[in-house]
Amino acid sequence: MNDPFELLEPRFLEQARALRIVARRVAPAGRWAEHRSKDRGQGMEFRDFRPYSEGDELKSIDWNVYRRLGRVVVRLYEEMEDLPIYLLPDFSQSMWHETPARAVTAMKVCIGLSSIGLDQHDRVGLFPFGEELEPTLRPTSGRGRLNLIAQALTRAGEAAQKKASGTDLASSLARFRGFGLREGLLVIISDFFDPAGVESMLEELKRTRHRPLLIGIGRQQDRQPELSGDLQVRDCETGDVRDVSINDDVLRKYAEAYDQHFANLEQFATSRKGGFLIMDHDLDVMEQLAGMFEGGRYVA
Amino acid sequence: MSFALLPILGVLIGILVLGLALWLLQRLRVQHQEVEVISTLFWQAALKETRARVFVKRFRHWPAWLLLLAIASLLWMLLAQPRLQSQDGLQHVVLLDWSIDDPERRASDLNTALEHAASLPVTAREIVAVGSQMRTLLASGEELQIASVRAEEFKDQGSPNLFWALENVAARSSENTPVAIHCVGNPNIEQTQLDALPEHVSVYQLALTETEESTTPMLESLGFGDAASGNFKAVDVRFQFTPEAELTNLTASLSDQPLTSSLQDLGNNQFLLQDLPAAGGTLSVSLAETEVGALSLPSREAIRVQLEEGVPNVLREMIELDEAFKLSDSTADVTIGFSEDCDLQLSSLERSAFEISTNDEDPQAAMLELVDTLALRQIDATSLAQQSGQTLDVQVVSADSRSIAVWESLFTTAFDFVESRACPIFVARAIHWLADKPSEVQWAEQGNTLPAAAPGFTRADGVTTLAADGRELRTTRLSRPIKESANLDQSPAASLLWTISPYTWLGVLASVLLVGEWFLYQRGRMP
Repeated sequence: MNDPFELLEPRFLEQARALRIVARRVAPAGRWAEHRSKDRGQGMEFRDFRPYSEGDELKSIDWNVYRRLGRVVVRLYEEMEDLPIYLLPDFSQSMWHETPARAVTAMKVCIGLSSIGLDQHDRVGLFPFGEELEPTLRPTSGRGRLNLIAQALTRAGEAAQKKASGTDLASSLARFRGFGLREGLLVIISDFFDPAGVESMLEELKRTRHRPLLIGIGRQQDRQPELSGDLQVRDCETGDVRDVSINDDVLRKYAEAYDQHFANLEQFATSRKGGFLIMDHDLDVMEQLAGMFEGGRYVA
Repeated sequence: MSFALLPILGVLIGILVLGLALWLLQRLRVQHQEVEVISTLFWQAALKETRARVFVKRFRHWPAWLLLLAIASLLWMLLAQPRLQSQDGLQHVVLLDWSIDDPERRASDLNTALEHAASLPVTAREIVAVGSQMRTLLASGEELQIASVRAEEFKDQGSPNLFWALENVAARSSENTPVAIHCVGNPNIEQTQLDALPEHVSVYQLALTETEESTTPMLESLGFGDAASGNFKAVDVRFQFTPEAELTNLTASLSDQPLTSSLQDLGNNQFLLQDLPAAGGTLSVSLAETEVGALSLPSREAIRVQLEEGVPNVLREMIELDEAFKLSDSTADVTIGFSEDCDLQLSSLERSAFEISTNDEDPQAAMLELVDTLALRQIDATSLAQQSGQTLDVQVVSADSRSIAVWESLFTTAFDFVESRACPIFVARAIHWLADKPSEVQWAEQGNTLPAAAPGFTRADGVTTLAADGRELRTTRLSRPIKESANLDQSPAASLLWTISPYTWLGVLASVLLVGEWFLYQRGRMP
């Protein structure tokens, strides 16, 4: 198989197998899987009683209750269903600007999470974005689908590399929301360098029912740029030019703006009981990803 | 300093220097190196945070604003150069007695004046040169250099006395604006005149420095004038040495004949020789048998006038009374009569009152000069027109030789012209003009040019003298001798603080603040 981005590394996948994503309670109407659902049905764990109604199976009647109280009730059990995982990797120009590209790290995160999800019978969908969202793979399940996801990522990545797109998180999320997909884990893997800022993206995220997991791909130099003197900085995506005279004060203000930017993201994710992780592009992907899984479990 | 002081080459060099300075400053400007970054999102935020000049935002940089305001205010003050009150409240006027056109003496006086003016408050100092009129060489608030430029343009001379200049300056002052006048050198001022000045005017003597003051006796003036005795064929000669000069063995001679016995000492190093014959002799003045000056006296010979028969008797009487004229029957310089050949022709009333033929090529241009030369302005033309019943025309035509035709009736009892003051003046001037002899210079003359105070005179041949020491004393001053010279105090020294222009201090302060601003900007302390 053609794997130019080396996504399917055996050691990487082996490490991923040790991790689990646990949903607090998944949305109803899913397929059978390992997560407790809001549905009440034929699972193993008892959850509640309810009065018998016409059409209920006789075997679900709790005859002990009937004998003691004279009331006909049926026993309800928790339904175990799957957690849809929607992966939204950022394939904008800024993610491809460096070598190795941050987009490759984003793809590896996608593969890691896909591997975890597919292992526990969850469905995984792929929706890369730049200036707009491009649905690449509808949510799919099955352990054998990892290759399919890797191929889809590779194709989307190669196309995005040629396209050199900008970043528009808000409109991409708006389009994603328009699909009306079942409530699940919405994973956005990006540098979050949207020229429009993150406020509009967060507004859009508030309108979705999905639980957010925001993974920022960054580097140490992003916060503390190794620049000095009088510079004309040019944005690799938009071509926007700024004259900057670097001094301690400007660098301090820059770091403050950077921190504030990601603090807003983290605050939002926390308020929505979601996850937030900043990954260093220069460090090992799986090690950093595993840090998010306390005791090998990530509670979505 | 002003562009008005610079020659065009200096202005061009200044532009080049400014261009070079601006180029250097351009090099010092921020040279941005382009760098491509992942995003300018945070740079934008950082710059927004650190930017000082944002419209309609809360102003947060008061110290920076105050610093810039101070710099801008200083630069504006430098540009506007407001007048500042001097420390002692006095207006200082340095007075130069330049009645004598002696370049060396003038340069020496100007140096002394500039040195003293440099120690005076810039905004309350003036330098004024006095010739036949006053000329301000340096006004209040101006830089000293401009005085030298104006001094070069000063050609005036011939002040009879410095006191009128003191009065003039005193008239500008008041009790609220007292004046200190610093006279350069040793001014000849009467003590009584000095006492007459208002109390708020103080006069000081500004001594020449040792190096500038000549130790050798200097002949300050040498000249002749009409004899006080009224003798037409004699002149009085007056000469004066500098007050500091020590005169030893002073002698005077006329055409090598000693005149020592008739030499009158007028005091104050002034001397008078009376009734010297105006016969073209050379007067020499010597000190210790060394000639220090010489002057050719004029040769006064009477103009010979011939009268035709029938000429009004009043004309004859006027000519006989004037020692400058001599009646002659044969050879004459000027003829007066009725014929066309006469130089001064007596004409009938049908012709113009004054028909003047001049050998000047442009008679119209010559007319204005002739009206003054012949004293025609002094004639009461209105009265004569009423008596004659016709207007008095003056007609000037170009001809090979000079002649004048004038109404004969003017010299009869038909008009009252002969009873007026203008009549003998006109006759005398007309005869002099017709004789076409060099006019006599009322001021003695040495050097090349005649004094500006005597316009219209032409140079007399043979009257060429130079001072024996080689200096050019172009004008002599025949002033009234001083009876009691005023004793003036020396000019007081000024405070050192005021010797530097306040505008210079402003410039220095603005420069320091600009350097400070640059330093703070480099350290990131200035937005």
